[in-house]
Amino acid sequence: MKKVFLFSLSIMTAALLNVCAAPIDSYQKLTSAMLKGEQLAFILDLEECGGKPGMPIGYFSPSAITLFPATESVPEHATTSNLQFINHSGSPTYEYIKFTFYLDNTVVIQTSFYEAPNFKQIGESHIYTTSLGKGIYIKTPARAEKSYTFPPGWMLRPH
Amino acid sequence: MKKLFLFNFAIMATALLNVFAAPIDSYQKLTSAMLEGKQFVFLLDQKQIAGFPGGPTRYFIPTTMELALATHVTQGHVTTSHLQLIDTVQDTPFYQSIRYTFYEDNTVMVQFTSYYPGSFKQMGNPIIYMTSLDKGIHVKTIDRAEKDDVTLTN
Repeated sequence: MKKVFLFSLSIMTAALLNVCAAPIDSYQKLTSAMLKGEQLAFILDLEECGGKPGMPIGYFSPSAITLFPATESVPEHATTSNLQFINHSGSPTYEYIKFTFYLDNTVVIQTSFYEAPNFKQIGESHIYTTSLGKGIYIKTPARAEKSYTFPPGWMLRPH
Repeated sequence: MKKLFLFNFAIMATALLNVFAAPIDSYQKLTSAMLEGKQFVFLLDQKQIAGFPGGPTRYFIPTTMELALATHVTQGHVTTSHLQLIDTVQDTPFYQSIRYTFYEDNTVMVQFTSYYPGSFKQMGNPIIYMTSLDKGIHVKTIDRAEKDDVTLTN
């Protein structure tokens, strides 16, 4: 009985660990999740990355990520970006945001704006340099779907 | 006691099925999963398909796919594509379109085309790579993906 209880406990712990999976807080975890084909969600708080106070918090689930191997001049890194159409004070505008992740867990976030009709850049790009877990948080929402439902008090029932 | 054992067994069986679920390694599996409405992730090892060591590895989750049935002149195929803006600060930004075509004989065509973003004029000729499923291009369904590690070649 005790063995069955311990066995059940170990399975439940493994299941719970899966449900409550730790966030992706390192470059290695990010590339590993990418190569496993896990779906990712980025939560971006630009204010925490050194942006102006009151900046909105962004959510982005990348559909494409590119992992570049190291070269003589550039270290290994992974990039992803998002281009979205916005109405910027009545002007049709493209907002571009690019994330570059490096081996030492630093993250470079670049934002640029372009006039939609001709793609002329509006102002200069803004670049924020931060690190994973500091204004940029990555989670794997797909893991949360794999929850196991345990009947209430199932472990406490006498057998 | 017996119920508890069966319950544990059910959980374990689910976990094992998850661990050993097969990736999508054929056109038939791809179209079948597509028609079941499954979500996919593609892993493209560009150094393997292009044969140059510095090639990147690409991760792509398609949101649209098109299945074209075989005709008397063409074999059945599935296509999807991705358009992204490439802006490296130093260079002029450009659009890069990556188009994936999966054929009935398990061959896969990957085509890269670049465009000027203002005019959408094509930049040079497209670059086309021919490969086959599981040879530089790995397709998985998202719900299975967590446990299927891919070993990439150097």
